[in-house]
Amino acid sequence: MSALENMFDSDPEEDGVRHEGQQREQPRQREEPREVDHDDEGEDSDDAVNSAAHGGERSRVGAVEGAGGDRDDDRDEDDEDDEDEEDEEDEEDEDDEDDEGDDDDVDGTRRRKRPRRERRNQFLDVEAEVDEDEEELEEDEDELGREDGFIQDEGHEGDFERVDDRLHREVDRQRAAIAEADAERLASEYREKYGRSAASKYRGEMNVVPQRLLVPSVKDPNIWGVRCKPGKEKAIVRTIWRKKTSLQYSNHPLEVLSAFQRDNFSGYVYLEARKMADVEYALNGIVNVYARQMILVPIPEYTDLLRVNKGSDVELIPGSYVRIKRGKYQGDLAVVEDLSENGLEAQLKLVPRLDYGRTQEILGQAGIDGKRKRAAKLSSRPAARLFSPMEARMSDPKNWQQRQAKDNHYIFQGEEYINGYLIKDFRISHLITENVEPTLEEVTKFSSTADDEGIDLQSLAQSLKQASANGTFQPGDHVEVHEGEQTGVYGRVVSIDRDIVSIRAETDGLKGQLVEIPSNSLRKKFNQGDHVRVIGGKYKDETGMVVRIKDDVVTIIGDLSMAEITVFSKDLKEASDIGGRNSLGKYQIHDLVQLSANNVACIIKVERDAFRVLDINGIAQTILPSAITMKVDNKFSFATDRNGSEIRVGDTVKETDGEGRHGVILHIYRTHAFLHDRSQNENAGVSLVRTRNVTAIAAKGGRITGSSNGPDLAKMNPKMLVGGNQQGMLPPTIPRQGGRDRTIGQTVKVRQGPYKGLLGIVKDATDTVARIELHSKSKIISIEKTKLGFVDSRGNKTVSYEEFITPKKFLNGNVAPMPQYQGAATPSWHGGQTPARTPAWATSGDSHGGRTPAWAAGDGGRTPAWSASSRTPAWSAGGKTPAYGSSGNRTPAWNPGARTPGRSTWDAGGRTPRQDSGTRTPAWNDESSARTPWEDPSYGRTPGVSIVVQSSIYVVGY
Amino acid sequence: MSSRTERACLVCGIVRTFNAFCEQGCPNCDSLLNLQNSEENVHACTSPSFEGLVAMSEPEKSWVARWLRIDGFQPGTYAVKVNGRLPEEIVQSLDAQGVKYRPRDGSVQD
Repeated sequence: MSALENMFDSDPEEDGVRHEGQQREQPRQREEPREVDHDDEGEDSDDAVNSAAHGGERSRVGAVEGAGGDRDDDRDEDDEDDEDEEDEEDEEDEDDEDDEGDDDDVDGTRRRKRPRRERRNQFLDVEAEVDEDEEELEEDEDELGREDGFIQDEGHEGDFERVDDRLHREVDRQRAAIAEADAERLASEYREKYGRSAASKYRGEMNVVPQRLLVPSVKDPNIWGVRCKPGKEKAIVRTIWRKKTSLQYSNHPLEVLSAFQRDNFSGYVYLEARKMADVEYALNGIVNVYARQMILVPIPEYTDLLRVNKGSDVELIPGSYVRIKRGKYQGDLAVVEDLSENGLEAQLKLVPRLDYGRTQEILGQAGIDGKRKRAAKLSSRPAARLFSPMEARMSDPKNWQQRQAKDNHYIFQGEEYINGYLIKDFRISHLITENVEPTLEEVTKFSSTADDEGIDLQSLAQSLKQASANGTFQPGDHVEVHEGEQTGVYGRVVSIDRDIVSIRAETDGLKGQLVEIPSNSLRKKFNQGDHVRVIGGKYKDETGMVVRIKDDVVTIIGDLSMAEITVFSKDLKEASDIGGRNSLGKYQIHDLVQLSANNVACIIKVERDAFRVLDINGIAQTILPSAITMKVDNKFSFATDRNGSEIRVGDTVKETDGEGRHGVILHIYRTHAFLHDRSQNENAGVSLVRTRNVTAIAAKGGRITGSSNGPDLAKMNPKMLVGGNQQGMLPPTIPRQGGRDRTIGQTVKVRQGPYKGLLGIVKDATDTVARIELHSKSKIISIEKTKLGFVDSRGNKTVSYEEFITPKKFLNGNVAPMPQYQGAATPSWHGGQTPARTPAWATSGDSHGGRTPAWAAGDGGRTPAWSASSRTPAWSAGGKTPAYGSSGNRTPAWNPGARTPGRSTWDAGGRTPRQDSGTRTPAWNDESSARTPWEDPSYGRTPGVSIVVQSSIYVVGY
Repeated sequence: MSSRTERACLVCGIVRTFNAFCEQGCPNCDSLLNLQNSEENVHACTSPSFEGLVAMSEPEKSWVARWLRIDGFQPGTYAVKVNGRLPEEIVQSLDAQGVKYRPRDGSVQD
């Protein structure tokens, strides 16, 4: 008690009865602490029953009463109370005695006051009152302990009056309190009391025995597993239960202790009994049980039978994503709005699939019976799209109802639509809650309305995470911890063990340390500018550069598409290669494909399951792979450009007019070429040009094109080609002849190969290959013409193919070499010079002569030499040029004589004047000047070369 | 007996119909939960989702009963696993009465 109260207490006591008010106040104060303590007890033992009613008093007392030493007393009292309470429950009558027993320990003061309490007990038979008195006693005792004599005196003096007053007040207050207490509180009070006394009735364990101490032993009853019809387990268990209860008091009760089933062990019921006979008896007469198939469960397996696993089902919370298992919305994504009280149903928000009565109309017209109607309904479901109040009203105004205009809230045909979404209750068992994996597209549907605050990426990420928490990380990935204690730590993945990812931290404090983090608190870390590849989702295989990162969501610019793509970081992986998807089926990007008989197209982009193509009309379109007839392979096609020079696939060309596009030729198709230019965005850099509109800039592989420098000089230059040929040592090209192949019908002798020596007749021939019917064997073989010896019509002499087809006059051995060469060269040269090249090709049997003079000359000079090496005998047999037969003679003559002077001549006079001259091809264009050199050997370069060659050869040869 | 309306007590796991819970309460825990005549309490303290049906005839002798901690309860049909949990305030009031609530949904293993 505080000093303040002591003052109040002591004052009247010292002065006797002074003021009414004060006197009244005093006992009241004396009571108030009691009230408080009563309250405290109430909170300890009972509910806070009276606290509300006495709140006012309480606070007042609280102000007066200091914390002081009362606390200890209170606590003591509580202890006592606890003891008391236990007794109270069953034997309230003994309360008083108990208290007395307690009080006996206390000094005389207390005993003296007992009568007062007893008196009161006569009036009020409330269990709480006992406590009150006791507190009071305690308080008194306390006070007395401090101020001995006064109170005793006071007690003697004002006893009667005071007790009366107090009692009356007490009774009043009690009544008031009871009156105030509403029914509910009383009920709870009684419930509390009842509960307390009935707690002994609850026979559940109060103290938890660890389950490991409960493991079965041999002393425990046995458990038999019995096969039964799957699906009937529960019914059987119930049947056993009924049987048990009905036979309970019979002569032969069931001795089965328990029977149970588990959903995990379908097709079995388990019975717990001491004896197998008991089980058999219990199962006797029960259907769907195959009592013969009974097994005794081994004791260690008992616990497995009754294991309780935490449900693997994902806890649904409002906002999580689910899919609908069946019905019209099968497979559709939905957002959980609310969960029903019993946890069986969920209110979902989804995009409605309404056709606004269209199907009904059609079916109504057709007049189809119900069955067909249902079939039709299933076969085609309307597309998912937001609810349209207008359409709904048009289709079925009777069942259309607007709830709240501002909420965009409608009832249509018994369904609720808010903001265009269908709000509907579904049974949770009809929902897919695991592995929902909502795609970004689906999710955006739920955020398309204006008032929505955007995609809830958090929950989306959550549902994605739960689906594929692991497996998205790979060693080497840059990751970052985004939740938990280690938030902010980043590093590289070292290893993954199920859900635990070990990372080598790269954060300052932890640098180099191995940290183990659960995978669901990790996310991949990318930096702006990283080159990444999409490894999952719609944009799979696309590559690009990271331009923006926000938490889990990364925006990249695709390498090929040049478009922004937003994906989850879990779907990304660092990539060094460019490109993305560039093949689908057997077609690849930049393939030329046939679309129809007269339309081809170049694939400019490969999408997920379609191609973007640019066709020959310059139209870009998206087609399915099935629309492609075939791939056009024209790798070797070529065309001439604006300047007449040859362009091939792979050459770099530039458009001379139009848009001035340039690029590498991907394909040439008839008069068009597809160009590819990486710097262009349009059509992924592919453009279509006419070959007549382009000029070649650079040829593939450095092939010289004439486009920039005029005609191909190298081809014209005999010297170069002679030298080149020498190095290459190409086999001689067989001159082609026009008209019917002269070899057909000829008797020939095979001179090489497995059939060497056999005679035959040429039945058919191409330019290079002859089909020969052998004399010896009834067989037709194909063999190169050059491997044949042609039996001369005049005799047994065989001549080579070349000899055979060369005009007779040239084969005449008597003809002087000089004229022969001259003759060979001149007409061909002439032919080449004449305005059209073609005649030269056609007229001259010798294509070399037609092409360049150098060839003609060189060939003339060379051919014999060549022949000499391979066909020496034949050559020798001919006896035409014995000198050639000697290789020793030939070589020096050839090399030094032919080349060196030729080179010098070339360098000195041949090339320079010609290049310098204004016209590109004086020799070609100017017929007179072209021909002149031949007439006048001293003029012009090429003839000079020829002459040198010839002369040197002849000098050597003869 | 339709399993649709069957529910299991979250505290003791006994399985009965919703109506039986309402009319008779839970034979084991009604002193704690006051299910009788209170649909609200029945909703809160019983679960329609449970698994593993046990017909328990002699809980005192049965090991199954001991393992499932229903050995002190009345004979009857019980569930091995009861999904769902008691509301927090009821758990607290149980605590106050000295009864430790053990969820039967498998989340507590010991």
